[in-house]
Amino acid sequence: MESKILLNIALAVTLISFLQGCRSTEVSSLSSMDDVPVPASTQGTATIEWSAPTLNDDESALTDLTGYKIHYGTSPGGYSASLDVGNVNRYTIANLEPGITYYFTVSAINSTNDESPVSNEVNKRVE
Amino acid sequence: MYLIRKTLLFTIGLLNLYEGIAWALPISECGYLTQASATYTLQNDVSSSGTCFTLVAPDIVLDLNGHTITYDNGEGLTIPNGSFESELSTAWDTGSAPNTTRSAGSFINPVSVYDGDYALKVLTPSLDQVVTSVGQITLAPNKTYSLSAMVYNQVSDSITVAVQFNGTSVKAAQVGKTVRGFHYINATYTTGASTETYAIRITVTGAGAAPNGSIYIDDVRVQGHRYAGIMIGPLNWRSPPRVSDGTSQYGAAPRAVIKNGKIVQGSGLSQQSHGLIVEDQSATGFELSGLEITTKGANSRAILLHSAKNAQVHDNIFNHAVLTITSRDNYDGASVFAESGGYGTQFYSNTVASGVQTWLYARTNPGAAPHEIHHNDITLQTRVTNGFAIVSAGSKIFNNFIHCGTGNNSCRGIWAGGITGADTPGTKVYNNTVEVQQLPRNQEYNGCEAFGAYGIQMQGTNDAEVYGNVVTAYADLCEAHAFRVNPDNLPTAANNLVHDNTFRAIANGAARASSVKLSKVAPGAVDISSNTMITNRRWIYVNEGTVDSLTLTGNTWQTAGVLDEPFHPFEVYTWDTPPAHTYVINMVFRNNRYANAADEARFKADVYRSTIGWPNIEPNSNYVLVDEPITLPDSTPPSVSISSPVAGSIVKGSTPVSATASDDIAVARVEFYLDGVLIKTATVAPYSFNWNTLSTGSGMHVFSAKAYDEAGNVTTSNPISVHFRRIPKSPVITGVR
Repeated sequence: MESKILLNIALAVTLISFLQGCRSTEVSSLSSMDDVPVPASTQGTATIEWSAPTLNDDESALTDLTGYKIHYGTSPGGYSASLDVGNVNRYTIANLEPGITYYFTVSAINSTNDESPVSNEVNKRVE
Repeated sequence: MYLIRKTLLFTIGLLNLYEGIAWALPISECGYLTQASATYTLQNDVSSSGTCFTLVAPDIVLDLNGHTITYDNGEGLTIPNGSFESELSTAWDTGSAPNTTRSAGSFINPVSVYDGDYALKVLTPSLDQVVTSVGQITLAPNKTYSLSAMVYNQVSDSITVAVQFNGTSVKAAQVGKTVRGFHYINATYTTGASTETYAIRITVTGAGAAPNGSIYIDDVRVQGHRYAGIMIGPLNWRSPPRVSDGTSQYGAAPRAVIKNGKIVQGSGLSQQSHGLIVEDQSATGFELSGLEITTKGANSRAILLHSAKNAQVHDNIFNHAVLTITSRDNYDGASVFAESGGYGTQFYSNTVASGVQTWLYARTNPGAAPHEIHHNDITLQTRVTNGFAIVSAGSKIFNNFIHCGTGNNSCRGIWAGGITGADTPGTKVYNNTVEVQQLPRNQEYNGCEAFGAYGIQMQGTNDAEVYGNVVTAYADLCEAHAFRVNPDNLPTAANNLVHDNTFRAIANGAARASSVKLSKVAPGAVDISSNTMITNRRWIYVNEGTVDSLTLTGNTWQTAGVLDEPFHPFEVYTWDTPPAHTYVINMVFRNNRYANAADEARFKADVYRSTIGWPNIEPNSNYVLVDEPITLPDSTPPSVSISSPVAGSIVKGSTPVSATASDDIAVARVEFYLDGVLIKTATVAPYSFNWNTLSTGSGMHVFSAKAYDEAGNVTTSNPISVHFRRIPKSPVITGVR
């Protein structure tokens, strides 16, 4: 009898945790879609804009794009950092070190979390 | 209401109690059993010079309680030197028989009929011979006697051999040849109210013009006539009554139970004196079990049934030591004989220690529930032709073990159907083990019985089925055939099936043997398929009538033992010269199987050879060998596995999918499934195609394949999980600032 009660409590806890998990994911997702970060100034920042792909690599229509990832670093092709930026087409990276030239590239992410090859590379010397 | 119910229940209880009362009656003497529903329990061994017990009321249980009934146990009448084992002079007056001597009885080699090795012999041609006993025998008043002798005359049909009570017309006679050899003759006589005294007179007449030869007489006897160990049912419904010493008490005795003891025919050796007799009015529901029955007198049976209706005969031991019978065609030598058949009776778990001709003769009446004859262990020592252990039509005969025992014996196995021509259809003979042999021990033909030993014979049947039996026939002299089909005495014989048996026939020396003997087979009479034929002489032997349009399908042909050289396993034999009656028309062998390559060569060589004939082959015979490929029932499924893509791999776009499949005969097709849905069927190897993953969503998907063979056997491969991946093309950075 005692073990049955314990089992029921465990099941209830698990169920609550599961429901909470679903809820928090949903809220987070909505937040990233609507709340595009707007930096206070351009100093120490870089803003990158890109156009969205419309096809998959097998030429089928891309219908499950879920977001982008920005890769950047301080040498061409050398990307030491990356950011998941959500499903936006412009993003400003803050807290960059002035006087340094950064190299940027963007990749697309689909619903199965498959990532596209990286885009063309651009650079900016941060002021 | 409650009280009424209680009262009713109490009353019913009392009724049950009343009905449950059994009359328990101890008995210690032979006599009439007249109390219905009584259980009579024998307290000691009992003996009678004639009949012992007679049951004339229903539902009697007679428990022999481990004791012995000896019936026909009179002192008997002895004719001095009636078997001629001593010199003639002291007992027989041969003054009127100058051609008569005493002779060693080699004519019945190696059979002795009753006892001893000598017989009376008359050389022919001869004037009439008269031999008279020196002494006289005294017959009791109001008693029936049987005067008998064994005689042998293969010299002339004009000769009469007789024994008689001198000075009377009571005579047992054999007129003409004893065409089947040694012959039992008898005459019955009932005395009047006074004692009667007679000499015995032996005569051989009509031999004046006979060719040179010998006439034999042996075992001249006077004995009782018609007694029984136990008579179940009324005595006097037929005339003459089956027992000669009964009173006129009348009463049917259905559902009698006789059990647990011995019934022995005593020293009287009377004829037609049976261990048990069940009359027609008592033939329903009887049960005979736990009995050991020993019979010895001429034409005496262990059990004579008028019929058997829903009865049981089980767990008995039969010692059927009878040596002489009048008619083998009437089955006088059957140990258990049901005159009018019956229905629904179980004959099982009996042990038969010996027998003169047959253990059980019983047919099922047409349209009735079959008798079931099963799990009996039958040792049969046949002395006459038609000595089958079991003769039955319309019955189920299964799981019996039939053999000739040890020693110099012959026997036949099972006669399925054919008791009286167009007989009860539907006989089933299955899963029996039958071992028969033909040795030189047969009083009827002074050596071999006619046509030798048969393991199983199917004759005169419709809708009979013989299957799953293992039959061995051995001929050391004469001939033996494992299976014989002879539907000739039923011209409409049809739909008889013989399948999945093993028919093994082995002969020694010059003896003849065959796996299957065929006689007078009309089109459609029988289907013989999927049997295993083993022999060292003949696989097929055709004799006693033409075989027309018989097809044998799927049988296995195998040799064993020492083969004839040259070996001719097919024979058509006819006694007619030139051959006129026995030949083969269109015998077709299909889908043959062979034990080995040598047997295949033997089979084909001889079948082809038979189209041109050889000695003993009827020139008109026509065999056809249709040696089609054997179509085995294919129960082996194919094997199949997916060889591409590899389990766990990531695929995209158009990806090759392939399977490897194989089968012991042939793969008919391979079906490919994606997530359980058929997406492709391939009928030829290599079993492969390209699958465009665009038509399916990204993620994990499962391929599987099913391979089929022509027989419809199917195998499903292990499932293969793969990842269909599509990745977006790259975005394009349009600006940075």
